[in-house]
Amino acid sequence: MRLTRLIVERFGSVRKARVEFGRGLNVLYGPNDLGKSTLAQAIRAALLLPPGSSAYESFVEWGTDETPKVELVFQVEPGGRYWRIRKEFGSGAAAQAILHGSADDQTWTQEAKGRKVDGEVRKLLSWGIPEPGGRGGTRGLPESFLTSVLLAPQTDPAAIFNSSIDEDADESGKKLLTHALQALAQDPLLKLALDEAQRRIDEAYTAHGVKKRGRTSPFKVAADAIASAIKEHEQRLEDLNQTQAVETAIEKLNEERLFAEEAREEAVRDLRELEAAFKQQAERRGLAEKLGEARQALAVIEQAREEVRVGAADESRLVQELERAEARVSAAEKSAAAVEERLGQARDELRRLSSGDAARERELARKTLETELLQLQAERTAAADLTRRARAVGDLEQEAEAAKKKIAAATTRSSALRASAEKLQERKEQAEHLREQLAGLALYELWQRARTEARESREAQGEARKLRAQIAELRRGEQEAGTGRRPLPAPEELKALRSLNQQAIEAEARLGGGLSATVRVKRPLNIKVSLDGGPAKLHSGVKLRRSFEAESSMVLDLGGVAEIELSAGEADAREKVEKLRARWERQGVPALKAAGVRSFAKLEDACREAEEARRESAETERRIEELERRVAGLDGLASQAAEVAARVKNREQALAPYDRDALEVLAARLGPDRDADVELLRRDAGLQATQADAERDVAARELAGLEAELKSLTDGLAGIESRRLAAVGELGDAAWEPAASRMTELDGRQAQLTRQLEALGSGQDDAVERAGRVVQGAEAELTTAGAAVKAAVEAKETALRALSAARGELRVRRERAEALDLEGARLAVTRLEAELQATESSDPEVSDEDLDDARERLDLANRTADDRRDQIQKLWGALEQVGGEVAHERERMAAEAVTRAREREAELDLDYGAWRLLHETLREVESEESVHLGRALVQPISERFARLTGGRYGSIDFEPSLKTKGIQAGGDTRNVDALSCGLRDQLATLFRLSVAEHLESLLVLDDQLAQTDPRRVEWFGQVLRDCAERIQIVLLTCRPREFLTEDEIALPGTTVRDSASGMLRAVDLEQVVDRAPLDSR
Amino acid sequence: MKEPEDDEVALKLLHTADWHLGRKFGDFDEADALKLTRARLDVIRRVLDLGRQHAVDAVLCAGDLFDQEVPDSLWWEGLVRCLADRPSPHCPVILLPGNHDPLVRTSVYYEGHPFRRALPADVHVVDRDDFSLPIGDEAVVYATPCRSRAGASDPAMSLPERAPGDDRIRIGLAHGQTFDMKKCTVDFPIDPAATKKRGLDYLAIGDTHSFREIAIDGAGPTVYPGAPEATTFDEPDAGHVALVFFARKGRRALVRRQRVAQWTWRQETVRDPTALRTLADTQDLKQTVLRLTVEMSVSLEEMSEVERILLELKGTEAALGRAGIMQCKRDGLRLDMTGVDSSFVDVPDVLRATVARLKQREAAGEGELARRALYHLYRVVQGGASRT
Repeated sequence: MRLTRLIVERFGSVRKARVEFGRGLNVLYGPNDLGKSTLAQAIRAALLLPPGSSAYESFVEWGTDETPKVELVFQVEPGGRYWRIRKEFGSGAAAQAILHGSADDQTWTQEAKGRKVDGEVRKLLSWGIPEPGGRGGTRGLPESFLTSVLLAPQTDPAAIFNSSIDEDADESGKKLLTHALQALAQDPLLKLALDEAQRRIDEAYTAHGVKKRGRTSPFKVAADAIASAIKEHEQRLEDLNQTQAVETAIEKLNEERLFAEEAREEAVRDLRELEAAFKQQAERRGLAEKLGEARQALAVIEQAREEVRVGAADESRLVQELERAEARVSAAEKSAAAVEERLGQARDELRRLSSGDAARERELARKTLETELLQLQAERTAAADLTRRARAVGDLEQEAEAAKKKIAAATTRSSALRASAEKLQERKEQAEHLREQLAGLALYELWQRARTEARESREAQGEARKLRAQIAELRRGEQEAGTGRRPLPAPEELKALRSLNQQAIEAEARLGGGLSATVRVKRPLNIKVSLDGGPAKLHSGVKLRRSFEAESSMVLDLGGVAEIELSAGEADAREKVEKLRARWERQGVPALKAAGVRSFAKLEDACREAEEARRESAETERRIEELERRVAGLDGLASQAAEVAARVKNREQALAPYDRDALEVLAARLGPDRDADVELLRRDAGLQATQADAERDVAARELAGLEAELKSLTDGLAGIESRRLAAVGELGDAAWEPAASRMTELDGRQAQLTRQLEALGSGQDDAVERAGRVVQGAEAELTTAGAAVKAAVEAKETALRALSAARGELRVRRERAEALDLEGARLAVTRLEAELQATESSDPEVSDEDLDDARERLDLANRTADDRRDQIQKLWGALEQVGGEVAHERERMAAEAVTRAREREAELDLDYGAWRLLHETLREVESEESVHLGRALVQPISERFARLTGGRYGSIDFEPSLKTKGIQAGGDTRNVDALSCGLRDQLATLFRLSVAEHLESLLVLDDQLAQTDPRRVEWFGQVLRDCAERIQIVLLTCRPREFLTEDEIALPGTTVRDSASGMLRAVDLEQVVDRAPLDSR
Repeated sequence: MKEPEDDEVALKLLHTADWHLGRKFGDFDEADALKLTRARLDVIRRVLDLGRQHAVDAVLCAGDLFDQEVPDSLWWEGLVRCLADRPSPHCPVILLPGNHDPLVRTSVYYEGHPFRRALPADVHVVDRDDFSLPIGDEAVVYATPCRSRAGASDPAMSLPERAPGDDRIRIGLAHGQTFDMKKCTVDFPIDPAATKKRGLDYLAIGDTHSFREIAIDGAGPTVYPGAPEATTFDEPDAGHVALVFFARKGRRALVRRQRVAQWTWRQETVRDPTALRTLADTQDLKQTVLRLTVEMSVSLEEMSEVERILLELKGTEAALGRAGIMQCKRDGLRLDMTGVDSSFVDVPDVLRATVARLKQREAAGEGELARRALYHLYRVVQGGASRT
């Protein structure tokens, strides 16, 4: 503490004075009775005396009623804030006090007024003086160990030696001194450690242990770096998020594009396949047509061949006919020759008959001829019959052969038609079967659906059971949670309680902390104490004294005789606290009790937990509701189980006629557009059936015709055969050809014989006539034979012509047939059949509609792929702006910078935290091992005293409470009372000086060392000058030259003189003190 | 590779890229970050000087020359100074916008930007998609700029094909990533066979910070020179430019990698004090950007030594560190509590009690804090309290 300025008005013997203090040694000198001690008193009064205290009366200027006034400006810490106390002492309203604060001793702000001023000042000083009105308060000038040491009036040293800090009414002085003296008592290494730790702590933390946030704070620097890095990172992250969002969108669209392109490829593939199938179909049709044509060509060739064969047969037949005609010509010619011969003979006969002997000869000849004619006629009849029968057999054989051929052809065609009809029937059946299956498909699907529903229904039952169990579990949990809940205030109520609690805390804080009471008893006494409203505690048989401390209130029951109630703070503040306490009792305490907690913080925790529980409960309720909804849905589903099972059964029955496996296969064949597929199949099957039916009818009709024809042919053949057999039977072994020629021969002979006979029959004339007739007959026969020859020749020529024509025809046919490549035609048919077979496919037929559908699908896929590509293109536009890898890279760098900044902050935290921990630990240990205060002063005081006394005295003993015990001298400990007055004064001064030094506080020495010899005074002067380097000393003396040289004395007519170093100030009080006139005193 | 004699050489080029002027190194201490940022401009002078020493016919700068398209004027002014102050003889310098500094309307490369006005006449900015610049009679450079930060089109494939009868040396200049690289699809993918497909004798590209040469049979090489100064620890072959020689005979490109970097980036992990001593004592780390990871458990004495060495490596306000730049990860540096007491034998009782109390705290869960506090105390006792 340092004084800056003192202004006094009407204070004791001083009417007016103004002293400006230097920061080191201030020697205020003046003659006796000038008012030096009054100034010292004024300092004490300014700092310690409440303005309304009756003690002021001793300072009232004598003979006047004017109120004393004093103004004191001081600093508690060097370089710290300036404080200005203005007090006007008096009674009642005349007493005034005001405390101002300033950073520069220029601009002042009011800090306290009235009665609060002393409280504030005493807190600032921490000299062990309780606040006015508090415990240990006195009505006059308060005293404590430190006020005695630092501001002691001209009193005897014994007051210093016997002063004990334990007797202070307030602990602040002891704490201050303990803190200072502990440092004094410290080991240098401990001090070094503490200082270093403190230095580091001061770098980083405020006095309240909070991290410094000022510009120079390392935490501030680190926090700024983190904030800056985070800001940068957030910005980069935002860029990156945009980038990633676009990239993700592009990725998604790319997937979609790939899908679309796959779909497009698939559509292209499908279309190509369909087109290929369509093309193949067309090719197959072409092949079939070509095959038909090839077969037709082959048939033509075969027909031509057949025609050649038939032609050849015709030729053979015609050759035979020709041969026969030639034979007949030959026979006719022979016959004509025979007739001609006979004609010659007849003419000879005629000529002979026209002679003598002819009649006998004619008779004989007639008889011979008649016999021969009879034989010949018989033979001829037989031969004619044989010839007829042989011809009939030949005709029948030819007829039978033709019939057989027709039958064979009809049979082949019939077989082909049957096979075709069977195939067509099969096709029809297949188509009908498919249609039936398709009809059953719907049933199958319904059955499947019903089965699925049945399964779902069963699963729903299971699921519903599980959900019910879950609901029950949740409800149980909810119930259990609800059971343990205690009633808690509603949020509004809690808010009001929070406000009330806060008000109470603030109000209690305003009361100021700390009550201390010391009860000194004169006989053993039971004391019951209640601290801060807590339960009363009994202290039995208290002897001597007992101290109690409380924060804000204290009730002391002294042996049941008296009860003392002490409360901190001013009356209105206390009243406010009481009111708030009462409100708290009314409103807060019941809420706490209801909630089963002891403090508002716990209540808030409980409310938070309750809120959390309420949220959880609401969540549970929501889940239960959701589960119940699901259960309801599932129940609905489950309730249909029986109905669904019945449906399954019905559908199974309905499905009985159908092959389920086939239906399953059929169902699997269906594409996504099932109805269209079914319709397509149904239509196709119908078409197939109808077509097969129509074709089969055609075949059947043809077959029926063929069958009838075949039957007719067979019957015909049978007739022919039987006739042929009969004719053959009749014919026996006879050959037709010899019979025919024999017949011709017999006919000729018969005619000859007839004519001979006729010639013989009529006698000579007759014979001649007959001979003439024979001749005529022969001539007619010859004519007939000639006609026969002619006819035979004509027949032969006809046959020859027919043969020539047939041969010509045959040649043409052969040429034509040879021009046709039968083998080639066969190979072509075989090849085409193979090709057709190779191109045969079980795939369904592809229609134009199918192709249109495929094209439409491709178009859709193209549009989708193009759309995705366009969208990707647009997003690329966005990505180009936001960054790609640049954004990633910048985000990585920014993230790394944040990490590094955080690491640096963590390292700072650790390092400074460790310094703080070290400091705390050192302090804890030091405190636990604390030395008593007096020991700390032994060394500095003893050393100085030894130097002062030339080593005559050893160390000085102090009690823990700093009361002086004795001094080592001559090997013994002696009481200080045994020392001379001067020496005690000097020792007391050294004691005060040491304490002030360690407190770094002001020391007021009022005319001390009056009984000290000049040499020691000089020594003291030097000690004071040394000490004044560290503390402010105000020395009031009437002997300035004992402490000042001539050069340091204020020049005549001036009030103040400062040394060059500024550490010494001489103040001529005669120049600054306006002394009250003597008569007024 | 032996450099061909001058009279055998038809064309000499210096190919560089990825300067990233203006890049900030936020994960380093401020002073170190500044060194690294400044180094990016310093290296340009060395690059240009190297070009002068080799009397190259052109300097090709393949993109990402600035870290962003609108750099602070400090950087483009600095580059202008480098280009303007380069010693004679001058050759054409071609600057290509990359994906970090794309040619957009606000870009430093855009026509009308003061940077463009300040550039010497023989410095060409690729500001057209069909940029071409003949280098003498025998060679021509084709280039196309990045116009955005990302792109899916191949810039090399947008260069023109060799026309029939064109027997000049054809150089391509582009910025992007070859197909084999991750993310190439968004960062201007470059077909490694582009030289073949476009009839180029050499494709000068930028983007990847490590030197890389991609050879295709029967075609000119595609080369990334890498960044002339690395930007991170995972760029092992950064710090180079490519010197490219085309022999008169055969006109095949001969590529030589030339180091220009000031800084060598290096990551080390030390697991015992000996390794740390060896690193610090035996190696010249003046031009090294060192990321040092310390993973060891040590006694107080060793901890003190480790801290001393780390401080020597890192440097202080008063003294340069032995490492040029150091980034230290010391999470793995642990105080071995065994035998801690022996380090506090001759200290006052109060300090011994403090040690005991800190050991208790260490065991009770304040491990790292208590260990560090013990170390502080040890340093105070040893008279060396002024650790970092």
